[in-house]
Amino acid sequence: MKIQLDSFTVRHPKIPPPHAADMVLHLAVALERYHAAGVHLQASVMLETRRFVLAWRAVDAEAAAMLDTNRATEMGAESLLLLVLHATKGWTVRRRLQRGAFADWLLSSPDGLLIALETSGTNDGSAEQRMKEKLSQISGCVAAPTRVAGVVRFLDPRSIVEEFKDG
Amino acid sequence: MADISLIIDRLYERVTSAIFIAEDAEGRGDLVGARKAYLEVSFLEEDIGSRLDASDAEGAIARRGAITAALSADLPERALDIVHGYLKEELPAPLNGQLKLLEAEALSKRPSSELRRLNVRPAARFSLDAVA
Repeated sequence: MKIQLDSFTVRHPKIPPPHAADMVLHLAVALERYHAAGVHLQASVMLETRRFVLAWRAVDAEAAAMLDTNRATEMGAESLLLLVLHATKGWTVRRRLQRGAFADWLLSSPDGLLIALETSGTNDGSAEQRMKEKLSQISGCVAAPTRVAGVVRFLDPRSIVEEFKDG
Repeated sequence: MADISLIIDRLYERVTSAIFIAEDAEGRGDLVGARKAYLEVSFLEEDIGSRLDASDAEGAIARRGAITAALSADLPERALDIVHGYLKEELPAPLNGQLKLLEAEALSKRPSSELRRLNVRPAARFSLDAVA
């Protein structure tokens, strides 16, 4: 299955367009550090593994140079995870959450269930280690009954989403 | 009268945007810009909270958010005003406990009573003699 990065605004219409465009730009820059459009993403969503072809328009080099490297990785990871979760589960953004909520986004499923999502990205670090940290973080979240953490490792590229469960 | 879900959707777009602006300002080290944006977040969360019941999960998010945003805006007095208003509502026990923790945080960040009473009068820094 193909994911066109430009489909972000259609998949998540509640993110205001200027911010959505910024998120897609950061994602394209984070991907272009290692890959060209057409790269295969290995996505694991709650133990189910899928492969996606990622497609995007080449980023203007000057625009890319203006972006902060760490921010591109973090915001790029958020954007990619939101695309993957829409493609696999049909989850869409309801709103952004504040830092103290221990999650970045409140999502809703097609049948109206609420999900809290905490995200993180790394270029070439350990995705598993980062996932442990993020699951620990989202354990403090009380925003929604379902709490998931997502991590992207851009070098491969691959993404992991796991649900935090008490006990 | 507009559908409540449409109003909430519009407020969610605005609060999402305001949070992005606040985070961006923080990232650039623009503390004044960040505080201003968090105050806007606090107003929007308060508005959302006023339209959703405290027993609703999203109503609870908004109530906590109105207070935490006021704290991020470095306005503990505002945070206390909001939390005291919410604590008068009929709240689910978990939310009541969470708001009490936020109340304690706001109290700890409030300037001392002596400082709050302090009347600052800036003294003139230059005299006519110095200019002459």
